[in-house]
Amino acid sequence: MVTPTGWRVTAFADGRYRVDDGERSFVADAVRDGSTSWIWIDGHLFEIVPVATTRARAAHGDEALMPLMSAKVIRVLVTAGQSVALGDTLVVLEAMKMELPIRAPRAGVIKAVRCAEGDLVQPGTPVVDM
Amino acid sequence: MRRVLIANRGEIAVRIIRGCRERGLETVAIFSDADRGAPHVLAADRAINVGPAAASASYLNVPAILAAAAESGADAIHPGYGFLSENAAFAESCAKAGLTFIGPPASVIARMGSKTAARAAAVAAGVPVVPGVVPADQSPAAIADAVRRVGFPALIKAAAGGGGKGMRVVRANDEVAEAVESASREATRAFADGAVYVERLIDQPRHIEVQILGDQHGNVVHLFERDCSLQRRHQKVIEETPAPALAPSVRAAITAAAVAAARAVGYVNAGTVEFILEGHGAAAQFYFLEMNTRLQVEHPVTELVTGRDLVHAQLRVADGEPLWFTQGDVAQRGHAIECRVYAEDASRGLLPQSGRLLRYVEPSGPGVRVDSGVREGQIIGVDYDPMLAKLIVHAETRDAAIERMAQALRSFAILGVRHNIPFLLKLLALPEVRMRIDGAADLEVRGTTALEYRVDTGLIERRLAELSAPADDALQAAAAAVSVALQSSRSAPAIGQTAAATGSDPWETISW
Repeated sequence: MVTPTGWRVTAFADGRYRVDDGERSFVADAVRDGSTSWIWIDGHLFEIVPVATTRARAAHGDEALMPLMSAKVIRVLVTAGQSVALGDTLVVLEAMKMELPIRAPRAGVIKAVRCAEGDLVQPGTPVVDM
Repeated sequence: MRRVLIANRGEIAVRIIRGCRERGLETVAIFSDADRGAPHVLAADRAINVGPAAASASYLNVPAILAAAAESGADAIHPGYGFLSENAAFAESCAKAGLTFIGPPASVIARMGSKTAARAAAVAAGVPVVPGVVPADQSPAAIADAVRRVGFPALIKAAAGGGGKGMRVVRANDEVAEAVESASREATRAFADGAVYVERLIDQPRHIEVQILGDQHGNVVHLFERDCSLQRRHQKVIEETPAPALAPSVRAAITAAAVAAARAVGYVNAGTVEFILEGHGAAAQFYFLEMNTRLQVEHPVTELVTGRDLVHAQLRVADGEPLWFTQGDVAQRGHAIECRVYAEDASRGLLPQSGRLLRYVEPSGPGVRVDSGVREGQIIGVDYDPMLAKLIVHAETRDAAIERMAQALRSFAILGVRHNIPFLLKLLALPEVRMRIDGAADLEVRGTTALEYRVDTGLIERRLAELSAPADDALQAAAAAVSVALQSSRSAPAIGQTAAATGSDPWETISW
């Protein structure tokens, strides 16, 4: 099929695709996981997610700082109402025995601290509201 | 030795099991609840569950592992790397239980496991060490004072450390208090020992290490060096041998120093002496960093270039065999490079990732070796190190090896979990890494300033933005086109078909 992007795509039976735009040609590996597409082309990895999921995530995540992976809270360095400067360490997480500090992305005031030392926190769950 | 229990998991357990089978030894794997059906479990003759997913309850659970050895009738234990491999008490427990520990004696592990004792041993053997202070008083104030005496920039390191844990760089006085507290806390958690020491930070060094092999009869040889300068946060990313642009006189001196250090502590079995290298050409200075009393992650590059199987060697010397070759028999042939393929996201500071391997197809071809312990369909969790595989290539020259690696990385299809292959490809393409290295002999002739190899342990950090950059627009469009085809191949009305019809882009494309 020819897509609006100008690349011609030919599907092969084993989940591989040839993409070509008349000048360049690649073989891509592609797998579907629900509505998400995972694609490997010439050393580049793409995770293509329907935009609705991302927007929903962005809407409630706007002012919240969330871990990007499962981790344990080992230090909480701020309290609600406290003013912080850009780059201040707010919470220190630990995962795979490495310390992962969560720092202030901007100057502001801490609205709420949603975790305590010793908590296990999950990606997508806010730990601090600013 | 007849039956070996491998006290590890993942690629290294699989690699050791292969070596054991080739030597006619029976193998026993151990596994946690998270690793039922993992490749290392299926590779062994039999496998025993040693506890829940958490490493502390399974792969670090000494009583459970010793019980597994007794139950399976194993007479030897290979610890691999990580986990219990450098735990002297474990080696001691094995000996007490009548099991052959495939590694050095417990006393050597204990001595080399303390960075401060190892440092003292190196000094005694006449091996140069980085200038520094080992504070006898471990109070925060005394450590802070030691930092100020060493001067800035300084490096605080855990005495029991490794893998960058419990390590902090201090560049100014106002950073001292937080760095001391944080290093000590991380050291306590990772090694149950909060003791730290302070060294002068050698800025922009290279990391060069020497592979050692000793038998129980006093023979020690080296198997030349590895260059592991491409690191991030003290974690190695790419390793190679021979070290590029290492002057022959420096190679001779550093390998001799490693043998001297190993002899001085009565080293037995495979081990690695790590050094940092400052400066260029024949004028380069090396300093002892630490000794790793185990098989290294990056041992395959040495195997390919020297033609010696290090796991076979470990098994033979552990069984009491004298070394069957001399130093003069060891030579470097061609060039080998290893890339560590990690489940981590380069667009988010290389954070470890989890998920299911929806597709996993390893590359192959002349001079291509993959050491892995995962398979398609497996769930990559957060309980263990996020390394998926090691891709190792061997070729006639460094340039050819880099090309071979780039081709192999491009044909390594891993989908379902974000990984660092795009990052590795960008790293191999950096001009500093690609810099054409003339023959070592040529370097010696041209003198010390002719060639300055620009890779050092800070290169990745300096180029992180570039290395984490997303794919160009054309490739993103190609990926979107494949996504349309992929999603529209379902029988149900697909998002992809709508996209093709309207020409809008309904996706958030994340690439790296």
